[in-house]
Amino acid sequence: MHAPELGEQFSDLEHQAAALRFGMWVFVVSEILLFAALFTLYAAYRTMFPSDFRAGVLHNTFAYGTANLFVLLTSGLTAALAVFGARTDRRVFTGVMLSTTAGLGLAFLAIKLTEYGKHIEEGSLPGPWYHYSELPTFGGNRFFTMYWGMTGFHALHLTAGVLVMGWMAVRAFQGRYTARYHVKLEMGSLYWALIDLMWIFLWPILYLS
Amino acid sequence: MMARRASAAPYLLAYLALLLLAGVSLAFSRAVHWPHWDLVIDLAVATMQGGLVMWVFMHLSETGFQVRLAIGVSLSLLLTLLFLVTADVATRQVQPPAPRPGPSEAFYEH
Repeated sequence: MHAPELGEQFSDLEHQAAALRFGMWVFVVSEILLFAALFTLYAAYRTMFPSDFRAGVLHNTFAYGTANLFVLLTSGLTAALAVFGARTDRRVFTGVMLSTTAGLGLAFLAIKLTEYGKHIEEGSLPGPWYHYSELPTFGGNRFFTMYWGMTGFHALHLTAGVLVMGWMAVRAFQGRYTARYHVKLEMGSLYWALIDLMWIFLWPILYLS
Repeated sequence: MMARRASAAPYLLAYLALLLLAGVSLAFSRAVHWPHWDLVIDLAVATMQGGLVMWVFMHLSETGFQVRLAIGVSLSLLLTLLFLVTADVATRQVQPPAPRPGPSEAFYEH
């Protein structure tokens, strides 16, 4: 067991945990606003090129997007269960849940890379590299530029999340998260849920309607 | 600070609800085709899913007033931004041609 470190500016661990939690929520909210800029741009382009965006959505491989939704929803559950494990002092359970979350994150990336390979092959690339012959319109170009921007940005966040989850899994097996103090684990789980949240909104606008 | 969750059941129930909502979204997109409304329905379902993720997986139900206020303000700003930008682009029209210049002063001198 490792004793939690108390920052000199805090009077006790509870005070420190509350400050860390609030700081993490501010970070999460700023990330939501960052993604909001992309969603707003998507909404504007979709209003300008509705038929091209509809064609782009129908062209995207629905199975890849849906499989990734299932993977991320499941990983959201395992990340939340890791917090539950720490709260009930189950060290191994917490470590296993965090490792599973990281593994599911890698599965998401593998599916995403397969899908990217398909797009590269057919030429549905962003901006000036776009040469997809079945949708040779400016609206089609805008759709796939948004697609690459939004999913790429999401994948970057997810890659960081996988590293965080892997690191936290090691620390969980070492017994660093206890029922008394596990706020850093809560923060990691919060970050992972944010990634989950983003895909919940990306899935319908890129693969469904 | 509210009481901490001591059971795994809420997480499992939330997960099942998330899968069910994804199924609803999927069924709508495949079985029903309402132009202009498909996306609205899917986003409404996604909003419900997002709410569940925030409330249960992100433990929003256990946070204090200040966190909820920060989230509420940022989400309302986000919705305002989305609404205004979409309304702006959707209501833009091609401007009519500029009026032709009137006759020169020499015209009135005759």
